[in-house]
Amino acid sequence: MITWLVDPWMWGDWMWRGMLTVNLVAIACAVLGVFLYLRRMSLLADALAHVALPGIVAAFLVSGSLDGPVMLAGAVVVGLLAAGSIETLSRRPNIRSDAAIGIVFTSFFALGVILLSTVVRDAHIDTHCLIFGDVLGISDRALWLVLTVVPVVLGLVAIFYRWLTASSFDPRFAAAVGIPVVAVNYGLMTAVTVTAVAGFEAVGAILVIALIIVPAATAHLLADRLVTMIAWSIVHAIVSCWVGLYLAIAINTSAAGAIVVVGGALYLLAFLFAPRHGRVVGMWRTRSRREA
Amino acid sequence: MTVSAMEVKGLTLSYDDTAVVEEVSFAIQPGQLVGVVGPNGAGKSTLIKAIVGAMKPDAGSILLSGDPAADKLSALTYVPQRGAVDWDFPITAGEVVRQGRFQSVGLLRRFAAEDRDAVATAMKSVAITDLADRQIGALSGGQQQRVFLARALAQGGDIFVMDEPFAGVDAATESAIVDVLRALRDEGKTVIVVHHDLATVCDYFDHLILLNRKIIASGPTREVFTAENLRQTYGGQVAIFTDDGAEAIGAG
Repeated sequence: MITWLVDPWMWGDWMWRGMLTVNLVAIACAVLGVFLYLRRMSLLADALAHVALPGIVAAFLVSGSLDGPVMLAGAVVVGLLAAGSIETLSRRPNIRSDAAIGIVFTSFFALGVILLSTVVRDAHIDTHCLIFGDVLGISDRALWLVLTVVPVVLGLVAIFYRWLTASSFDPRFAAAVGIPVVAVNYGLMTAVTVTAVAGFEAVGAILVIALIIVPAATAHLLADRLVTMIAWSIVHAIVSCWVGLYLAIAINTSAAGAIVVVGGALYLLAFLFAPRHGRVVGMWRTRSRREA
Repeated sequence: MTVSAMEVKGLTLSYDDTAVVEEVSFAIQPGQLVGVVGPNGAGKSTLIKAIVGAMKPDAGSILLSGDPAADKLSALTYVPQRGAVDWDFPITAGEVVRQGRFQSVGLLRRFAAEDRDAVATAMKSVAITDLADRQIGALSGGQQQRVFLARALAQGGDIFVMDEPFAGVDAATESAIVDVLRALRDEGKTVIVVHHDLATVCDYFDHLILLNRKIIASGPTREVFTAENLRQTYGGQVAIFTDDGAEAIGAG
């Protein structure tokens, strides 16, 4: 058992690199995810993560480089463009907001796919890696990107915590007390885009969405206060990463896939057994009430 | 002559080119309890949104104590409609009331003794001190409304704007809220309330604004609350069974 836990760390530095990267990305996603979840914007995270792909391609077309900052800038510009388009579209009375999200992000993503397979075919952009990630083959670039981005994102959340809370809970009140609600909203979207890009190499565009939504959804079943919800969300993220990574090594499968499956299983546990909102507790309560 | 606590001039508001409120003008003196009454879709909530700065007018202006409202937002305290928030939000009653101090403590400063006192006093004055640690969704409708009123009290300000504070609350809460509003008025504050129940209008308000996309009448409640004005406001589909109302209809 012990050897099984310890051995992977001795097989090369990919273990600690992978573990560190995926944990940091997952923690940042879990924290941002709480605010997205509470604002009913989880689907928008999905959109932003996809839109980052054409963003990276566009940045490459403009600058010819794939350095971390260039990638981030490209993704942020295109991400905000997409977020703005979604916002404008869904404000029209005859367009539903879920449809607006679906229309905008699939179009952007498809455009990225076309560019990737034609104009920039020679660039070393690994589509497979962008979409599915490669936790156990983290490059120096990805490691440094995560080491810079994650502390900045978490620091900003800490600084703007009151603004984020108030504008998530009651936007009209927040505006009335002078909180720049629109700026907070776009700031949050920027943070999500940046985190998603930083996390691409580790977990890929699709699974980064799971790291944003699932911890927050699990935490909401367990918490009555925002700080506890954030804490549970982080716990969920860390447990999923560690268990998932060991599982992936043990059965030799996709690390990102294993991490998300473990996260889903943890959600199911919380769904069934959460002390106040869980199904099992609920059923037990109903039964004892009926018998009483 | 004293400066009006609030003066609205020629205000026009619209959504997507459809005007909801047209050419609205009125003035409110300080230290009054003011009711805004009108049928559904009359533009009451839209007017409130513009007053608290959440909506840009197409035309017209709003002055608070003689200055443009945008420069004086800190003098204004807003209590939103109860249905406007997500009751599953992981926040306790005490934390909601503490938000009332966010404007004065800013982003990072810790709550000083003065801020904690303001929160405690506000919660006590609407009798929710015992509920401080309960999640907001676990409270009754009346308790929730009191939490929002406490947040407004903790915030302070000279003008209080409330959107239907009595919707879906029990009688005990309604009278508790009215007591608090009267106390505010007696301290010289101006309190503006969007209201639905015509039966209590004469009892609650000093000043009445009848609104149906335009101002039908604005002035002391006794003068404004007449059958003719109500018929104009509601388009003749209103029956009032209070003593005052019955008199008013008889007189009209």
